[in-house]
Amino acid sequence: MSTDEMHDQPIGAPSNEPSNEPNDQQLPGLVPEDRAAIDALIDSRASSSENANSDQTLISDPRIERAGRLLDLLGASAGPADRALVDLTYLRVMRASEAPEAQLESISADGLDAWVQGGFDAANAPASLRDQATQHEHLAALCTAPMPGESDGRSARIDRTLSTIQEQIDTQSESLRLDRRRGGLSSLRLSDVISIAAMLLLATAVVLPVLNSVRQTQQVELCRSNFAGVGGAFGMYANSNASALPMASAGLGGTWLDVGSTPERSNSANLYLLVRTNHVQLEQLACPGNPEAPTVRLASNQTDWRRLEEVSYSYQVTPRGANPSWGGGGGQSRIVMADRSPVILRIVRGDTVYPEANSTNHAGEGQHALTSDGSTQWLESPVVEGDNIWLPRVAEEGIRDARAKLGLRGDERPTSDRDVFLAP
Amino acid sequence: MDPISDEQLFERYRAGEAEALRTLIERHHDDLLRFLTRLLGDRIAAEDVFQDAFLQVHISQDTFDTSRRFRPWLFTIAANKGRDYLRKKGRRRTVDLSAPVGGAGGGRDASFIDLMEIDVPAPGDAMDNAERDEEVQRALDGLSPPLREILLLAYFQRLSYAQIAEDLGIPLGTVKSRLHSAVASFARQWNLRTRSRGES
Repeated sequence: MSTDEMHDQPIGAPSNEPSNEPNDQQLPGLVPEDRAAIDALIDSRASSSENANSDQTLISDPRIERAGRLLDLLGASAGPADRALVDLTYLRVMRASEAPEAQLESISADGLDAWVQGGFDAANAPASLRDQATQHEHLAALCTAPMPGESDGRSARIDRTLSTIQEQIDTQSESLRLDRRRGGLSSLRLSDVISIAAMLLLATAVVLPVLNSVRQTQQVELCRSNFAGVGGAFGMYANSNASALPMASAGLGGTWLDVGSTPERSNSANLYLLVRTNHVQLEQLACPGNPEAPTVRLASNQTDWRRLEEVSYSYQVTPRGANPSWGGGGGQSRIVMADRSPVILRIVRGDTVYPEANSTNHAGEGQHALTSDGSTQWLESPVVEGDNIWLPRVAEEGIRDARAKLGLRGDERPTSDRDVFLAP
Repeated sequence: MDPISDEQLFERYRAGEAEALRTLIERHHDDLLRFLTRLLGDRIAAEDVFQDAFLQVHISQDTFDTSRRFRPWLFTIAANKGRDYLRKKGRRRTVDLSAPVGGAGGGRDASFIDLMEIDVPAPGDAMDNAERDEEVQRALDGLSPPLREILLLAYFQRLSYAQIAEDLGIPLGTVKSRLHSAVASFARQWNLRTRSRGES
């Protein structure tokens, strides 16, 4: 193995050096000329048995002479098999001889600072430091001075550099063009676009109803769970309040249309009392089908929802002078809470009222109803045993009368040709 | 009339004037190639890294802050490329057998350098250019790569300590101490070589 070959290998490898040896990067190597000199010297000594004067012929080279003296000091009259050991030992000596990190004497350090701060011009340094600064300037000039042959091939090198950059630009442009061809929407044919659009429409038509149905089912189940929880809360409230249902004030002084504006007179404030008394969390009075229902209280002293849209469940309006209680004994059970009435909402909004409409909480499919015995049922119509749960009896009778007056016998005719009337 | 500045030229290049880059390369060719040759100790490698550096300038053109100077930016890019090259090559420091081993001012006692005691030729002094070039390179090769880099950046970029600190992202005090150390190391290496040459 020559020293050239060794140079490319970890120094410790050939002789099983301990693991705490410095790595290859830290250990200095030999300059090529010295490596060649040591190789020549070792080859010479290896063949000394054949030619006793071979060392003498090499010793005229001062570099080889110096290497020879050093090897002699190491006791390395080496044959080829010991070359690795010789080279390693030599490198160790060189490393051991390295001086500690050099430092500038303070006057030279000041001179360096003066030269740098003077814009790298010794003439700008203070007189006391000018010689030092000048010396720094000369030292720097050693590195920055023109080098022999540095202008050789200058134009060609500049052209090559520009060509390299141009190649990069061309590659980038080509890449962009390919991207457009491969991925751009504009490159699609009209038939492709139509096909994709048709597939998307088909997917939407099939998947969306399924997803809506799944979501709707989940919301109904969650809502039913709310009703079960609120039923339990009513029971606990009643146990603590002589079987009474929640009443925020002695009676309903305002209208059941009021929500939030006059909390102490609002019917929804009565239901909200369950939240204020910590019998339920507000979240349990929020139907998943009502996107505007709040799930957390905005303030600890809040007494009601802020507006009708936030209310998810309608609560029984107490008859005047009555004191309704919780419990279903003796066949006295009645509905005390249901999904929010669609009638009140439309009245408040001034829209046409449909008395038999189902709650909007569940897409008009029906509504949950909690009875005073704690059970929950699903109603597909708001009319239960002839009683519309969205209306007081007086309104129900009025509607019935109006319908009776409106009854048609079959012999009626339009009043004029502008009175449109269609019949089977 | 003042010649157009590097920064204005680069702005023109960014605006699409390709010839402006040629002017910039021509302007900085000699210094940059010299810097890289000194840093890497290998002319062929320096030429490769020279091309890489300008290619990186092109690639990173949008990141250049036009309120800053172009030359330090270019040299910082070149130094980064040079560092990458040395890391890939796994280059290790070489020691010349003719360098004194202990004694002759090169031992552990000679760690403090007074520049006035060192023979530094003034520019233009009689000395064989090729020989001096070789000695300078060997002296630089005796420095660790970080010290060699900061020494050459300071010599070629000619930036204030504060600017170097900002470019390298290290504290100003560290810049000063590293540059002091780098100059001292270079001066010592140079001194060892010139003394050794004188003795032989």
